[in-house]
Amino acid sequence: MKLLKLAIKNITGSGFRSMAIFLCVMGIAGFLLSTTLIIRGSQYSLTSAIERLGADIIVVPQGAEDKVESALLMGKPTNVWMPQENLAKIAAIPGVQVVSPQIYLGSMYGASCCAVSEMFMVAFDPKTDFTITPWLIKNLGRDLAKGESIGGTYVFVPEGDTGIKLYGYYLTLDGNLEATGTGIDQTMFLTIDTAEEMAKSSITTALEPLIIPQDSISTIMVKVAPGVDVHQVAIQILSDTTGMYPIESPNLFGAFRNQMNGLLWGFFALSIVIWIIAAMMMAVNFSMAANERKREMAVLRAVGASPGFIFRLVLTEAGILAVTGAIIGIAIASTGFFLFRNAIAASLKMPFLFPSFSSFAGLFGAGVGLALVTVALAALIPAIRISKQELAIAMRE
Amino acid sequence: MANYTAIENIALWTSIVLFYVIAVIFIVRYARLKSSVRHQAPKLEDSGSQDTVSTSVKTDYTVTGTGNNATGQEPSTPRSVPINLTSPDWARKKVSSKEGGNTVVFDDVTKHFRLDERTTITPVRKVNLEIGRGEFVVILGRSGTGKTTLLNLAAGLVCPSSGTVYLDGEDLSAMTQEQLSEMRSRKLGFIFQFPSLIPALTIKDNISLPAMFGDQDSEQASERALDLLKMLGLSEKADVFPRQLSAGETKRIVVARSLINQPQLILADEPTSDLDAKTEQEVLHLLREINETGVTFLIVTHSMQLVPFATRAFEMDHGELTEINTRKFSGVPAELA
Repeated sequence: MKLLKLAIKNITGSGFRSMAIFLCVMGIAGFLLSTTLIIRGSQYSLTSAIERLGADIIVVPQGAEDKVESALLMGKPTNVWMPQENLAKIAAIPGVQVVSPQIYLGSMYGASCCAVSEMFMVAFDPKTDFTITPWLIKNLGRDLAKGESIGGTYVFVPEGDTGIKLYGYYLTLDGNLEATGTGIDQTMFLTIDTAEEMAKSSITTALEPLIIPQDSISTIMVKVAPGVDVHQVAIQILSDTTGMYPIESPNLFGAFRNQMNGLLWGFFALSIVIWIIAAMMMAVNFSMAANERKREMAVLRAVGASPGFIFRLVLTEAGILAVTGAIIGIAIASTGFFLFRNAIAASLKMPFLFPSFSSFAGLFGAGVGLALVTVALAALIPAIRISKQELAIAMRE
Repeated sequence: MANYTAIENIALWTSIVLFYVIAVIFIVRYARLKSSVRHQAPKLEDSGSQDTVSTSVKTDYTVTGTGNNATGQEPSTPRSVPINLTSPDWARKKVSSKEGGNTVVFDDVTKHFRLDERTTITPVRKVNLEIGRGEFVVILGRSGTGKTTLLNLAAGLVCPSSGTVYLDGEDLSAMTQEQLSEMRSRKLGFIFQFPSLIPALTIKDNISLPAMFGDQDSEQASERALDLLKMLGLSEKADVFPRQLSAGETKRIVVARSLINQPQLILADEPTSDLDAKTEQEVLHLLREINETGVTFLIVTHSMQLVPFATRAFEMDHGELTEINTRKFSGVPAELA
């Protein structure tokens, strides 16, 4: 019977004590994973959204920054407008490589095509666009024709229909973008030509017409030339133009991020406190167990076990409890999170995206590793004490 | 998951399902194990003592004389050993040892224990004792006279404050803890006064425990453990736990454990305490049988019942040893004459 087998038998033989440590590890591992998933999920969601947008700078009408961020973050439609001539002004800024206009629209209330009642629509110029077009080329192998659209992950064709009807105009849904956990997931992307045609036909076919002001755009997507400092270009836009405000991509959703940071730091601090308390409880448990097992360990020493063996035995028992408890705790927390991720995101009222597979695997491994280290530290001093105890005295106890 | 590939989704779902299936299997098996253990009613009476098998070994001991036994009654009449003695050769062959020589030597050994700044006790005081191979030495004494400390010194569990203890010619004080552990696993067997079985292990595992630290592999150790259980008439107890044994059975299991590594020396601390007279005799006869295979015994006890079995006996009082005449306590068994 080797060390591992002896450790397992000792664990199963002391049911209550082992279960206490096991449950402690399971609880703390599950809790830490949950808070980490919330934190990482939010960060991952925002990062995915910014990458999806693809622009270095988004130029919006002055004063409309919050509206635009809210639309992109939460998918709530908004109408913001600025003159189309601003496009040329931005293009003339040194360091700007490409500019592309976008028009923000919203569906009527009660749209049947989406997970939300009002759908956010973004019309883009296929000739200059660099945000959606690369995805189109990669996934469809072509641009969007008139009457076609692509949607975020929550945009769908209603059952029984062949297309999506908006303002009395039928659009085909030719693809869905990857999830970002933000409002982009419930956004429809179509060309400006399609939007204008929809607006024109809505006068006669829709309950309410779709209004697109003449010679107006909502935002300008800006790509900066390679090697040029994005921040400098943004400053120049601000100084050389009026009525517009540049939002640098890393600063996108800045207001929301500031609010979220407070909450996330709170989660993090709570996790640390709970982890410390759990570690202390486990240390007390191991210390009590070591006291209780003094004579048992003395007998082991008397029949030939070395002090090193006793030390390894105690740590092996701790390690087994740590690994199994952590795996089960993390598995239960992950399953719950995975199955109810949408409900969790909705209740948290913040963007949330389940991390990538490799990222999640890393979290899993880190969780098990942290549990192992924590339990090993909790068991270390009792293990040292019991392996070095005076045998004759221990046998008398 | 929109942002996972199909393979990643399959892997994730497969892991989740597998995890829960394995968890359910473990829970069901654990519940069944617990249920079967609960339904094994603890035996309050010795059950292994009913087998009687004729053997070629003389087993009649006559206990007479003026010494009182532990119950203060007249010494019991001779009886045959009610234990299955068809033990395999390996357990009954003589332990290989050098011709003559001493197993344990106490050379002017004293041991102090400092209880606090002002109080020091000396349970062992200038003890000189040489125990030869194959001897069956009994040390008598009341509680608190230092007997257990003497045993612990012989095992290297404590170091002497002065003097030297030699085991097989080696100075125990000069050994490291690892060397002492290795020496104990190779040369010593222990029969403790207190219940010393590991509660979490079955009887078979308890018996084969010392073999973990010896040079037997687990299969060999397991077989030997079963052989020993058979020898003691406790084969059916292999898979029960210590809490399900009676005191007599526990003592016999401890004896079996002490034999698993075929030690040269067995140290026994009150081996027959907590036993009724009948069981005490059975255990004593068993120990004597083992002694006849060449194993040296050093036994400490307060029971006079062991003296007739001894080759030499001593009395320990206030840490000092005085040899006593064993013949005063017995009609000496033929083998011991």
